[in-house]
Amino acid sequence: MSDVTLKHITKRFRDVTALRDVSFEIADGEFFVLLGQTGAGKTTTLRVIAGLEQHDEGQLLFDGELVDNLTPADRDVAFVFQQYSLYPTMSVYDNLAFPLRSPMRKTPEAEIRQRVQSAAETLRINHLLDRKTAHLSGGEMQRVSIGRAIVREPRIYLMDEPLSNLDAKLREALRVELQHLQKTQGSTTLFVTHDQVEALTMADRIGVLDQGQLVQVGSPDDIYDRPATTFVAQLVGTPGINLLPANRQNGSLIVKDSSIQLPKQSGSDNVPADFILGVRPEDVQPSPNGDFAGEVRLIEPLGVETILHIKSGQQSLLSIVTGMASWTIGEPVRFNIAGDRVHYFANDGKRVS
Amino acid sequence: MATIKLRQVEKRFGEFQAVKPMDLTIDSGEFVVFLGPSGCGKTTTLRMISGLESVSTGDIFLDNRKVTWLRPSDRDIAFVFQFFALYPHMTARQNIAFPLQAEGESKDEIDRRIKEVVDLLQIGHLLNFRPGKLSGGDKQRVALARALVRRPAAFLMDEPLGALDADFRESMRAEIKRLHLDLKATTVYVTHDQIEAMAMSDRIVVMSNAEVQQVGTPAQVYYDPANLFVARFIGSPGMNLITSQYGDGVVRLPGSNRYAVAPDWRMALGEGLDSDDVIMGFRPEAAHIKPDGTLVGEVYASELYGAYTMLHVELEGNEIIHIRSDRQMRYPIGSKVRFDLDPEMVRFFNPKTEMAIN
Repeated sequence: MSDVTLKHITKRFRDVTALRDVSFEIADGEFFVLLGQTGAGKTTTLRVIAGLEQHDEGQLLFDGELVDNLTPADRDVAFVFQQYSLYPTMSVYDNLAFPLRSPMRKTPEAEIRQRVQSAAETLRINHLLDRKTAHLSGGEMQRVSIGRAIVREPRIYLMDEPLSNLDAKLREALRVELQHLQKTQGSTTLFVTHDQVEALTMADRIGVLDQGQLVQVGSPDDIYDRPATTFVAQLVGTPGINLLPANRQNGSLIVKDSSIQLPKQSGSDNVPADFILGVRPEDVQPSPNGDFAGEVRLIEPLGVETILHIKSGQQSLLSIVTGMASWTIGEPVRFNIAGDRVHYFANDGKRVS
Repeated sequence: MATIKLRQVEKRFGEFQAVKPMDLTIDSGEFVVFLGPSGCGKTTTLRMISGLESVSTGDIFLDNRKVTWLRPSDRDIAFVFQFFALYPHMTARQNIAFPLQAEGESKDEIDRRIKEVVDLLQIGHLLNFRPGKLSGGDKQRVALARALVRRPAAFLMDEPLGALDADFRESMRAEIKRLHLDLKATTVYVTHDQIEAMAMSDRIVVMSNAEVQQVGTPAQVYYDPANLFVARFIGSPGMNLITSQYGDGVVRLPGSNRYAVAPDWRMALGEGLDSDDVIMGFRPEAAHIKPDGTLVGEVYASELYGAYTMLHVELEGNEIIHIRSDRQMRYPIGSKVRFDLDPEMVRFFNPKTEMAIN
């Protein structure tokens, strides 16, 4: 497999700038996820790398070599799309063999058989090889689509929201399969999604795109624990992070219109007088002798955990507690905030640390 | 507010049985969710309650009044659809006023009632906009306002959040629940999203294949699923279910893993099983990784969810189970892990009937 480098890539469609000075690298064998909302430029990035779009500025390199002028075929990338693009009248076997039988590759049939078998085994679809793809379930079809990409041993896999048409249970299962496959094969993969769970759970590193610009690149831990902006902070984590207007007085961190007042923390010295305090719901924990007072406004039991909506003064915040805790709406609650895990953002949304 | 009662309600479309005969009583002020995969009959049931679909057999009662053959408009029920179904050429205000005008209410009464719902939903700033100018969430709020303004005896909601993106759906979910707590209106809510069902409902009616699988509180369907379908469908991921053998107080999992059942299970298992075959079930949080754990497997994949890590562990015999663990716990693929199960959270199912053993 190859490493991929994007240097200052800009792509315009008439007067719309779809990608603005985007630079990042995908290491050989890395699972890199581009995360962003609809229209952020994720798919455009994939298409630029595949050679299906020509960028206006910047350079694209595979293994240190410029590929800007190579045709899509010569770049040797494999695409997996959201919509399965299978041949419905062909068997699963023939669908998998198809890329190897292209006149450009002319792979001998014996080798094709061996590669198809091995891909089918990896994806647990060997029992389906004789089936026509029209008769498969959604999850099986997407496995075949992925299989068609992996028979080829391309330089890089490009995956464009391949799981988003599947129902929740299948998506969970295939996510695990994809991660296992990628890790055990060490393939270079660029995976595009709007789903933060897919990004956190599968990626070695995540690049967050917003309106054509790369906002942050980092490991899932970085993105979750040290979001560069309030935008990134809100994008990852369910339920979402609490963002509370706050100010600093004599070192103390005071959340406006509430009972919440944190003592000076290590790292809070550079925080401006007026700022936004970010607190993940798991860092808000009810406790009989908690430092702060509030009232339970809503209870959402999810089974493994329960989301509590707590009102403290004029502020509302979410807390996650383990199990199906027995709370009643309107009851007073005392709670603590893990002061060493809070986030500070300036009012323009940028992280202060 | 109204009690809704279904007595042996069934729906057939020709040969096809869309809803098998079902009985259900929804209490006044209750929030009941019909949950199931697409095609399970949940929307058809809702439509029969509303009168948009006729029943094939059985009866429907609203506050002990038989409404089986009443027209939808005579049932005093408000329907909120998945697609916002607002009139595009009217402002939000005109949309909300429409059902009241249709009923011939006076202008003063209309103004008063609109003010009431507008204050409740805090949508005063939206009133002069047409739907085309509103965001998905705001459209849904206006649609809710239009349903509320009629003060119906019951609300029927068909996947009202289905068209919204994830974070919006979460906040609207809380808003609808909050609203329900304020109004205490009897509500029947249809969704395929088990998280929505758990978070919002007083009781969940789990449906599959045109049949009710279980009726219970969120805690009941989560901790004590009635059958394998419910065990799999509720939870994300669902319950771990391992086909095993049982005898003499010991569950023999595929391969060399063994689990000694708690003494109080022995009698139930003896009565509930008709052979050695058993399916053992436990939720991902019921497994605890420990160096001296009695069960063993190999890490297949590990997923960070932010607040926690979900480990996928392959047991001997190729079964992959899910274990929820601290986010600090990181294990490379292929490494061995040992774990124990919280005996309070282990469940058993009869593989033939697929029913839980109690």
